[in-house]
Amino acid sequence: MDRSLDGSSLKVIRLISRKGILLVGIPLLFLAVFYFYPLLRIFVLSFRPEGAWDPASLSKLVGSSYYVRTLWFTTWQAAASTLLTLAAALPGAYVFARYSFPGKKLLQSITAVPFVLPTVVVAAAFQALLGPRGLVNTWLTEWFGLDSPPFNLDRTFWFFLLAHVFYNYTIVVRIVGGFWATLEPALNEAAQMLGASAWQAFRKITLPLLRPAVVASALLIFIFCFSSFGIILILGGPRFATIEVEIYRQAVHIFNLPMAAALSIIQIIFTFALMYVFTWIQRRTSVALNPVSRSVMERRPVSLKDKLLVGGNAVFILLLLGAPMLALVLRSFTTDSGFSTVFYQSLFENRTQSLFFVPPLEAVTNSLLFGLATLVMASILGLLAAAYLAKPSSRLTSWLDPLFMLPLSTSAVTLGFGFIIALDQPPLNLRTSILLVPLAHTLVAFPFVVRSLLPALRSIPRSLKEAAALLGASPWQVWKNVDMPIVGRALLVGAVFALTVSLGEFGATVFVARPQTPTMPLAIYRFLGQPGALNYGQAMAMSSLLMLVTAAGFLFLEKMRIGRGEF
Amino acid sequence: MKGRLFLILLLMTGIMAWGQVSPLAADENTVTLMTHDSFNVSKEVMAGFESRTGIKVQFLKAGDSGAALNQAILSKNNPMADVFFGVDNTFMSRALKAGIFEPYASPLLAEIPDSLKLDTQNRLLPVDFGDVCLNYDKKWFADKGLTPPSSLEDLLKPEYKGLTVVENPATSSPGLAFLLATIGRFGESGYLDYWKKLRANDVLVSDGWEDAYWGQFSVGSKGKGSRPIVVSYASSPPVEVVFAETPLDDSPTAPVVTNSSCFRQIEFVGIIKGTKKTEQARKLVDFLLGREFQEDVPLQMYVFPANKTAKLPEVFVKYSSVAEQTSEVSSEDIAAKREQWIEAWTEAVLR
Amino acid sequence: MALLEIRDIIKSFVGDPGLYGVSLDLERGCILCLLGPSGCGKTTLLRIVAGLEQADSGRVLFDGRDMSAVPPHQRNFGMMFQEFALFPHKDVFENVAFGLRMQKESAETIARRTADALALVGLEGFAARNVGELSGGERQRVALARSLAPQPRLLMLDEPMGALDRALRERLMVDIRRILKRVGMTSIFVTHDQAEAFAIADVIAVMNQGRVEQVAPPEELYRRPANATVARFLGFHNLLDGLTSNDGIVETSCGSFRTLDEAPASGNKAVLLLRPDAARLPNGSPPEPGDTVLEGILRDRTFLGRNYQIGLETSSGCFLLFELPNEPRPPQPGEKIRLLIRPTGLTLMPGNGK
Repeated sequence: MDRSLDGSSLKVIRLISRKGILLVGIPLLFLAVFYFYPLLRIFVLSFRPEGAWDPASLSKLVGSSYYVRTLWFTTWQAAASTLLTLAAALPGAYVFARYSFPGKKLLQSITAVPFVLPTVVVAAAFQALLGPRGLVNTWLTEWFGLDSPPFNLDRTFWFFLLAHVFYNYTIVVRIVGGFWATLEPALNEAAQMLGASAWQAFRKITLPLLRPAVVASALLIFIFCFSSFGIILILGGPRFATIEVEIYRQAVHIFNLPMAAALSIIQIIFTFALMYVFTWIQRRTSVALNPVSRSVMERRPVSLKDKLLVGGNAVFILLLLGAPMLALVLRSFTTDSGFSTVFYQSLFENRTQSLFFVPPLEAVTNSLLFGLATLVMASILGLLAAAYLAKPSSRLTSWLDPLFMLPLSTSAVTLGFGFIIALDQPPLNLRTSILLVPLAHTLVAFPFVVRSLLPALRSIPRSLKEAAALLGASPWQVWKNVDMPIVGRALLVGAVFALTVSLGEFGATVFVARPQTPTMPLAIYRFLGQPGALNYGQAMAMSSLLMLVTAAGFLFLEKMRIGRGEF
Repeated sequence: MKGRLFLILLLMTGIMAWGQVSPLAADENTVTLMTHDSFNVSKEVMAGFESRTGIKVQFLKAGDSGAALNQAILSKNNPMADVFFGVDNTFMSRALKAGIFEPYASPLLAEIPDSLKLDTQNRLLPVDFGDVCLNYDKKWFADKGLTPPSSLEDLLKPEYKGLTVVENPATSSPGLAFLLATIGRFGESGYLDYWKKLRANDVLVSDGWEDAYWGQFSVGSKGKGSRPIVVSYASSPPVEVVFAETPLDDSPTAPVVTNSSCFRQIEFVGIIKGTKKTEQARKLVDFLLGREFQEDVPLQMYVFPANKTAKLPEVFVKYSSVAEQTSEVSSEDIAAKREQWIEAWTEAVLR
Repeated sequence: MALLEIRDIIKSFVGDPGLYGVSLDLERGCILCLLGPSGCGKTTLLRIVAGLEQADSGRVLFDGRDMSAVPPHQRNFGMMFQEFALFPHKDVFENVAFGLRMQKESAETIARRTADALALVGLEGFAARNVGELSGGERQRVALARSLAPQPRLLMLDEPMGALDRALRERLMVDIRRILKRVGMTSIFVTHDQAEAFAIADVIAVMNQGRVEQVAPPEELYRRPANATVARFLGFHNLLDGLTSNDGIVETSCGSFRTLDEAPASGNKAVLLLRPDAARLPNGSPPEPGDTVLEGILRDRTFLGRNYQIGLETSSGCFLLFELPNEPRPPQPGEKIRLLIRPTGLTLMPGNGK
């Protein structure tokens, strides 16, 4: 018996583990209260504003091909972004899974940082680097004496695809890399000994085994890009519009709530169908693996090939992810009169004696507290949900699995408006409560935790659990001693995602009325909302601070290994 | 060990939640002001009001002006606030149609010019206004020896090819205001023609003000962007001076306010119907219209005060100007035809 | 010329023992066993032969051809991994057929040769099984069939019994040798278990700390371990330091023993091995010529089934272990005992512990 638990809580845990449905009941209840109920209320209100159904407002939806085209564009840009990110990040995932080298932790934390950066800031960084007058073009024109910038990505499809890769690289590295580290290298070697070239061995053995993790990360990236908003608008230019943009426009600017609701429903149904297929593939492709200890698998790059692989990926990461971030940091120190910390100093000054001045430390504290609250809630809910989903599948699982992904793909406007009208009565009078912020963040972060955990949980051979049970372990002890150490890493991955989602989340928060608890992203937007070089500099300084806090939080989480940390 | 750590985290979360779960105490003397993210006021000014009246003001910020207004409308059966600030003339008729405001004929309305009072029933009272207009890079035009633009028509000239960046009216509020300026200037029959010519003259469309100003405008982007003309506010130049890296004796930008090339955005305040604190809410509205707050407005929100008696700060007088003749479109028209105009614009400029 | 020639392989790892100049030859159709404690470098050597690891220097020649530039998948070598490394997402048939598919064999050939390989290891009818449902022994057989199916030129087996329990291991040892011999496979077999090595190998190479200590057929290795390290690793306990004198007599602290080995010049340091089967009870009969008589007290007596193991403490204070037949029964512990040591049960090895 576990000593840290008293008898009664042990009883509760036994009950939970015996009745699997209770396990999944808690996250389901959470979703019901904070997702489905607000959505239902806003949909009902939208379609029957005065108790009557008004089909006229929807005539456009069927009358014009515009929305079909928008849906099509939304889908294929998300698919293209997903494929490109996978192609770019799989080698990185391999390097992080199989090699240990100096600076690995730091490099890995660099990959996580883009995730938290506000879109406007990222767009600015990409413009500064690759825009028509960006660094690269300036250098190229000077070196080769060209008349015009050699390449112009601005307002092209490629520009926002690149930015999507920048954002989502970390998802692949973390989820696939984490899973890859637990694959026996002997499987790949066995294939090579049987005559498979390195590429064949990857395609026939490694890739199929990685598929659950690849699908999991693809799922997240797809949904993320499917509901992409700012990046596409800014970098792609206004010719590109996703469903998400249309929903925002209809709801906020035109106040055509029925249309916004209809588009939201289309978005939800469409993503649910896609998720249903994805999660089905993921369940189908999961096989029990021999878990191997991580330390055994990591080796130093010795041969030239190893060194090229590790070095090449490090350079790639530094170029793709590091360079834009570096551009931001440099910008935050660059003034007309040269290098200076004036932007950082002015963060601490309330120049105009504004009532809403945000002391930087307060913004950092708020962000971290929301982040921690999100981390805890999302981890607990995600663990419960994933533990249930990992069991041998039932019909219920095939519905619940995609269901848990929905909050990530639902328009922030719709949900935010739903909160306003649904959560206005005690005991859930939360619409002006500060709690609503971490709750909204948790809705977005929770699917990340579930996706991070599932591949690891499903790969645990049942014999291992049975062996433990035969040795007299209670279900809780089996979970604690067998599952936990193996999924510890995956849980860590999920926790990092939860934290970063919360640190960088801006979308959902905007549509939640809130008193004065500004976070770092909100402070950045406030600076960017006004002209003046100082405001811009402060936005860059705050962004750099946000990157620093994220990287530090990430390194801290990595240090305090959950579980034994062996796997 | 790990169990304990999790417990500590949980505890911290709990404490945080407990301490802040209901900041909106239902105190008799607390008034809640719901507004958009750009609302700003000096500490001192606000403290003065609170100590004079004994009323505590609670702020509730809810996104951009459209999102905030929509939230107020959605919660009309169970309002979240007593006073709402930040409805502008592009959203005005929607707000009035929703019937969420109750009339209040503040005595201070006497000090506000009639041209700003768009609601005859005084459900929405004007607080400030800003002119959306072209801004240009003074140094760029001086270096090139080119005359800066002085009207909307100037942008069509061949020497202005590829110089202008505007915001998308579908996603940006200054973008919409500028579209309205062209509609007011050229009429419903002529504005599309103007835009088609502007498109032929290589106008760049950004999704929002941030990207246009910081990413494309040559001043905001420090030369990274290629456009020396941007759609912004007439009050942007003084802000460039106030928030300069190093003290400036001149603004790097100037507004174009001549020849009916601006659209005037007027921001209103209203008392939300159903408030139980009418007395306090009225005092707050009076305060917002009163001279003290009005003189604070320019340097906090970078717009012009509605109250005639309010004195403008020097930097505003020096670097900004109020358009004498603005381009007019009624808020009823805006509400009725907004979507149709935007769609026609999208068709003409983007497709 | 041997089929496989390993020449002066050197490999160093950071912090780990590597390989220090290993050379070995392997004839066609022969089963070579690399025997040694864990960390002696035997697996590393195997991986270098396979091409999965690069040596710092030295060469691997196969059929006279230098293999160092040939990637593993083009060597046509087979390898059976420690934990079998069965592909968990493929069934038994697809696991075994994998190598044939890589050789782009026709579907018929694949079906036939896969069936043959499964029949060879006695797993007919297992083709459609999921590898997750197999027992340990079945997994091992699938792994063997999988590595044999593409008919490799050389088969390597890395601790193929390591993951199995003892009873299963003993049965499978015999099977593996039988199967390898039936197809005439040239093989290298890595193990730390001398019983396994004796049962399977034609030639055993004992490795220790990155070096080959001795290469010999099993019987010779057992009879004549080259030095004390090898002897100790083979499981021998009675190793006595001594000095040689004339006529094959070795003086040790436990007494003088006569050996049949050609003794080095007298006065040399030496180690004398007394094999456990060297002793017998006099049983009334007098010692034969050359026998050494040991007297002492019987301290332990363990019944092993086929025989007894006894612990003898001599009057000079030596503790020696011997095995004695069940009949006649050895005396009770604590009783005095007198043993005769055959000279054929003794081996003389160079001294200095080397």
